Amino acid sequence: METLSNLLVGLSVAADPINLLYVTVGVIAGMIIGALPGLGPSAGIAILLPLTFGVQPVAGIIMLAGIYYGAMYGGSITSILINVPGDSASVMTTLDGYPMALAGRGGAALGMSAFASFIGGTICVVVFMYLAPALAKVALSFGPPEYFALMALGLTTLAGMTGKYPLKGFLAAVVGLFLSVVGLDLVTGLPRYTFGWRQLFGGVDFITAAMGLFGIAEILATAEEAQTNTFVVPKSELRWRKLFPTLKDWAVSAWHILHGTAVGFFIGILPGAGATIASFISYGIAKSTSRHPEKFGKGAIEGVAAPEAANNAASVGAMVPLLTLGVPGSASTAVMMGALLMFNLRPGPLLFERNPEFVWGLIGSMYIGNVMLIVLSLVAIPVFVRILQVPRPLLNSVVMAFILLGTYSLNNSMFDVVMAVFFGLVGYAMKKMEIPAAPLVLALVLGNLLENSLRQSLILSNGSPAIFFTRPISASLMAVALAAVAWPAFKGLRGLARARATA
Amino acid sequence: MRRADRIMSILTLLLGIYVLVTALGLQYRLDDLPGPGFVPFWSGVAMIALSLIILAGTFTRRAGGSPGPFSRESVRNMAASLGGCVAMVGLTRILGFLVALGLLVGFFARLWGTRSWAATILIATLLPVILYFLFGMALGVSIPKGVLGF
Repeated sequence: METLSNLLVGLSVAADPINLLYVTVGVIAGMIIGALPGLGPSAGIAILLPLTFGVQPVAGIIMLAGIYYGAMYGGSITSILINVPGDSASVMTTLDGYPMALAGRGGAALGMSAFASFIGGTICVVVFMYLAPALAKVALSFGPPEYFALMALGLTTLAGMTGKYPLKGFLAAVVGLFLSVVGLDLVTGLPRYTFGWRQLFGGVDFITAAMGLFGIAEILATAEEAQTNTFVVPKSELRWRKLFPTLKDWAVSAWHILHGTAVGFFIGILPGAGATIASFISYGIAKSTSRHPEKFGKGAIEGVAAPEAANNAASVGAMVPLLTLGVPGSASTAVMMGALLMFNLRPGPLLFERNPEFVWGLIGSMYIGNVMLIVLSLVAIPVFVRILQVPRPLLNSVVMAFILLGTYSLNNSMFDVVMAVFFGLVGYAMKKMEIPAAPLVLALVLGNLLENSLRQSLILSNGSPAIFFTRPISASLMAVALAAVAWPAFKGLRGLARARATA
Repeated sequence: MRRADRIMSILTLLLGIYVLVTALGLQYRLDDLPGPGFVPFWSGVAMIALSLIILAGTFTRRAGGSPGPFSRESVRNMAASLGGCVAMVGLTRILGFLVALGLLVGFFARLWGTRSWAATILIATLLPVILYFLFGMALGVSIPKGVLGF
């Protein structure tokens, strides 16, 4: 009952005209950014963050959440129509979405993708609504050792699971950890690695870093690939009626949407895994449980429904650890955490007690945002497609200008612009070298919190690190964190031994 | 890729050594608790260890001979993009942020393959105006002005 009355308060906050406007702008902007190849939700949130300056925190976060699920859906538009995934979470959508488009059923694939995203997102918001406050209550009993272990778990799993090479993921996380200590030490006031630059005393701004690593780096990488514009979409594909899947489509997809939702939400909650892995796993489940697995890859609509439900479900699931524990588990939620801190809101269990109107306003907006998403996707797909037909070099230049001015506007500082360009070049090189940027950004966001909780834990234990392994929750979390480091190492050694045996 | 990995791991190895050495100059422990040098010290150690493992991997047979990730064209593209950004930062002092940004947008549009001069000029002049209304007017950002007064 309490949950429902809280939801009503949340819905009234979200239905405020200005908040409605922000969620609409967020969803549209997110869909456009998400549809641009290379730019995913994390880049979308980082690039569009300056639009939230000067607004109320609740309106700001509502818009960012809108960008998040808008971008998550936007990625599927290009996946289906031109076989170019907007981001990694929509890669699986290309497998059946594009063959459907080739067979003249692109409209149905787009429609199913929108409906599956809507259903997945909405079911997960309901679960989120009941689960998050309960988890926040449990998290209130967490002390510094539990938080330290939780952050260590988030970092190690993300570093070990993103990208092809776990070693490079760990290296990125360690570099991020180092960057997080740049600035004045909170305890002694000593400057660390500031090279005498006053601008670095406050530390490396992680929003600037995210704009460079996710935004500029992606633009530089796609700019050299896409010299020509290849968006040729037959208009007949985008007729309104063609966007509605048939009853037969629904019959074969319903079950796959449901399991995609469950898998997506569960994986989204886990630190490190996220929407991409959720879409891969749910596609695998859909194929193995289908009566016609041979149709997968040739235009099976359930092959679009399952991963699309899963990636939107995962984006809601990823909000659980961010809001209840204050520990983001993915690149997108790490950037959102940066935004929350910018609004002077510290995500974590106390947020539910101290700022209920904020949390419930956000939950309310998730319902409204999901409805907005389906309405906009059905009404505005032809418009998005037209935007995508603007030549890529021009689109890239526009996004680049937006990033540079957006970075400047963070602190009215040209130094931030220089830093964003620096991180852009570093990110471009990392992309080329197949080093994931997400662990670096997450470590940069969590670094200071990690250092503080380490110090506080050791104060509690009079300097003994055993405290992390003697308390049940922190011990379990540390065990999983250590396993996340040990498992890739074990796999690497086993691979080496096998290679030697066959040589 | 093998050569690129080798260069990258040597660079991160050097960074790790630098971090480790400078961390020793900060206090490792303070009142029996981790001091300001604690996290940098262990970051340096981990960076050195991981770099050495990746470096060692480039000498094994498994490293393979996949093509290098940086083509001549990609290096030229990156250098030109960097040059454009540096010029923009420099020109901001003289021409103001928006004019410099407009020039950069035009430069990027050409660099990345726009053939039409009309489209280039249109985007280079129109975009700063739109951004001025969005950031300067709607969001109240104080954008640096130049000698032209905007």
